[in-house]
Amino acid sequence: MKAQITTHYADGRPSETRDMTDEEIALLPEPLTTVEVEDETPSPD
Amino acid sequence: MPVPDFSPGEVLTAAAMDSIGLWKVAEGTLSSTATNFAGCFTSDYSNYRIVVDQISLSASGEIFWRILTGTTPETGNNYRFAYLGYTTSAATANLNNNGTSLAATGFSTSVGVDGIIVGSFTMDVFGPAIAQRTFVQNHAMAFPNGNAMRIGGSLHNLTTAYDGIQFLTNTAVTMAGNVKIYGYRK
Repeated sequence: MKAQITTHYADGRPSETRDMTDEEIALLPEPLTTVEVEDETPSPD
Repeated sequence: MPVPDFSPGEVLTAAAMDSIGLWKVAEGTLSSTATNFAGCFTSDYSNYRIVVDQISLSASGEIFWRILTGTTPETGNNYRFAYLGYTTSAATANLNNNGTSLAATGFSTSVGVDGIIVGSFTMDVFGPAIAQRTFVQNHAMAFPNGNAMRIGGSLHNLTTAYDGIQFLTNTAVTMAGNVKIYGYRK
């Protein structure tokens, strides 16, 4: 499935979601950094 | 300025309403890989507070921002940012860049945590709809697989007025969360 983009409008128009174009996908970032800390996976308690 | 009287049954006067310091101008959920808030910055306010909470990501990644005109993001290498970061295991998690196509919010996770709330961040955005540089101060706290905090700032270096903001994450990652945008009364 293609990456998608959602737009919320401040003027009250309904929100929209659409597939991103190839050009938009090409502008998505790669991870900047990895935060390595102890293995303590959170749980939804 | 006196504190407005918000007692039950009192008529709220224009003067009382005008003294309210923060006014919500937009809200919505973070979703997809990128989320636009179009038209939220206007000449009615100079500065804004953005509160993002109950964030989760579908996999490891960061949340970034770009400034918008309509629904079109500014993608030139005009963003700069610097963040101090620290974790509970005493690892540094600093970020900085001196000219790139987007700016960090300081928020990141290092493991896939789909559906689990992992943090929040706030941003104060200065002058986005004014033809000047847009400055951001913000603070992010995340619980990826430990605790990670970042505090710092970012800017968009063009002296241009814009009217919206986009939040985006990495390729193949999707976001969830709540966004509320408030204008500071001038």
